[in-house]
Amino acid sequence: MSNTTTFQGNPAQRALAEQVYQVMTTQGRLFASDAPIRQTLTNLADFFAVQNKTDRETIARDIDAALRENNGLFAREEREDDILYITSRVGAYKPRVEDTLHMFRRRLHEPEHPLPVDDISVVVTTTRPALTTVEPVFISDYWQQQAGGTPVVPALPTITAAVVVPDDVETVVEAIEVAEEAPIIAPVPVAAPAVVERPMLNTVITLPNGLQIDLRRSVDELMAQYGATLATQLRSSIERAIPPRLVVFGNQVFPEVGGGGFGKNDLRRIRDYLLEAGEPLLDVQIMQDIFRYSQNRPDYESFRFELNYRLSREKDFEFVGVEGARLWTTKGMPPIGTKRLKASEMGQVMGYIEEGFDDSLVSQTADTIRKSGSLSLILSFFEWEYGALPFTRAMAALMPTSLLPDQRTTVLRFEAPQHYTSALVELRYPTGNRGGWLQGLDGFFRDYLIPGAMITISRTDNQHIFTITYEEQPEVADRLLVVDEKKNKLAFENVSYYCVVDTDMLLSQAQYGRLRNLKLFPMGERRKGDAMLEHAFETIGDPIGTRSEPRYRTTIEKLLVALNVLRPASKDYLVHLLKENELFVPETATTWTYTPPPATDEDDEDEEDIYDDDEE
Amino acid sequence: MDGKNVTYGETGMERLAQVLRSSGQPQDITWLTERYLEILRELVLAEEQNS
Repeated sequence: MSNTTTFQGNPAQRALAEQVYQVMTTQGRLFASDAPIRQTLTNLADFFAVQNKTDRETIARDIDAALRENNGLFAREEREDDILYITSRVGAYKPRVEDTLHMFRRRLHEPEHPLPVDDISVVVTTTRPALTTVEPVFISDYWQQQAGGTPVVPALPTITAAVVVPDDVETVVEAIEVAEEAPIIAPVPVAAPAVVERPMLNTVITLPNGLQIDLRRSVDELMAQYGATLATQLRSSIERAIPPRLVVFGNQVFPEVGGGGFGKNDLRRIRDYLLEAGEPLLDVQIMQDIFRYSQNRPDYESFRFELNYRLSREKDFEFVGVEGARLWTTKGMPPIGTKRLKASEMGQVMGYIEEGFDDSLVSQTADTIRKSGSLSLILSFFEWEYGALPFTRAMAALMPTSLLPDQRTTVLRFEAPQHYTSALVELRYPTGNRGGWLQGLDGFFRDYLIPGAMITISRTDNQHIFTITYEEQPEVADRLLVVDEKKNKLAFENVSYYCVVDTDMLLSQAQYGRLRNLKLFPMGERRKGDAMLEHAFETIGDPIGTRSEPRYRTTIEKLLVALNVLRPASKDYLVHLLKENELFVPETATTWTYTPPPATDEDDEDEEDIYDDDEE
Repeated sequence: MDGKNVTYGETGMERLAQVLRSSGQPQDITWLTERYLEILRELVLAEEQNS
């Protein structure tokens, strides 16, 4: 290369430049021919100062001057503290230019004559990778355009400015002058209306029961339409005890109070106090008498809530109150009402109400009862004897509903303003196919009323207090049906009474003399309505058959009275029992006959001879 | 918040508990339901107000 290279400058500079070139090309003899060979002035000066045995500063100046003269061969770069010379084995260094015009990659992705593409997926390999990793697949813009994936950007039209040379220069000048005189009206840019695309917000939420509500609607609207459902769903969520724990008692909610509100000693004191009182007590009484909690205290309501919630979690305590009166009872309290009634047996006896034979709303509607706040009814013998009233739909319209979901009982107070007395009444709510009833009025009934008396039960301002009244009349004496407890059988006794009665329902000896033959079955037997009806029919019915083929006839009204001596029954239930048994045959709309099945010898011995004179 | 991400009875319950706690006394379930709806509305409609 040095042979063909001509150096510039004076002879000394040309010689020095040639030497430098030889040194640098020797240094880079293994480089590519066009690769840059770099060397600093410092290194070159050190080298030639030793070689020529001259002063280093002088030779440095000479080298720099010689290479400046040959700047076509040596590129010069000044660094911070040194000067760098660059050359190559083929002469002056020229940076390499990559020729990418005909790359294979380009030809692969953007062929000159591509095959038609109907689906972009055919361009992507379907080869299954060894590892199931999701990797982005590069698809060139070309193929995406071919498949219509990206819009083809049209080439911008070439604007060719036509140069117009005006023929008449003066015209142009005039035009310019007119333009200068005319007011300059800047073109008002017409801004396109700003269209802000907001993403459509999904404001509809779905409740756990599938109900969808739109939260764009106001709270009032939502509550008016779905209030009950929303409250129920929220309540059930709270009761699932998902943190943060809120606790529910009745219809009230409060954050759970951690730890030590009430200790065992407090609970023992409450229990002792209830046992001492001998009847259920209100939560506010417990707070005042045991904990000396005044209503003026700011945390009165939260303490009250905590007390109720804590007692509801204790097995020894049972809630027997209503919304306005939170009454508590405990184990070992004296029972309310007669001990002759067992809850399990009574539930079955009253089961006919839950079976759909409740006709208590035939003559009056539940709404009427709710609005009037009172209910009148005529006492049957069973109701009078045991002081128990069926929890019919009519009664349910008057009575308070249970506050807690698992509440079985509510204790009410029935006040008798005519006698300035009161009685605790236990309301047993129906469960499943077992009916509900009220018990605890046996004392009042026995003292002041007789079967057939019409009583009125009325609500008061306190949800758990009711009044019971009856219409009084001058003393009447009659022989009425009673239970002879010594002999455990029915009998007629002289009774004086002062209440107005329904004469059809009055169980006088003159009217229902045969009823003394009714057998007082154990309560467990009385739940069998069909068996009780057969026995009542045989007792109250007029015998129309023979001794060998007995047959009886009576009216539905009499049957209803007789059956209600043994057990409570509605007219609907009675008719159902009559229609269910083939032995009962209707004669007229109100008269039925009964043909008992052939009696066995044992039955004959037990049976009383009713075909003889059966009335005293 | 997108309505799809709201679980009724779970979303916003912390705030509801705070509201209940700050009231200082037990509240009726109807009152609580109204407060809860207000909280959910705020959560869902806040995004619309921000955008």
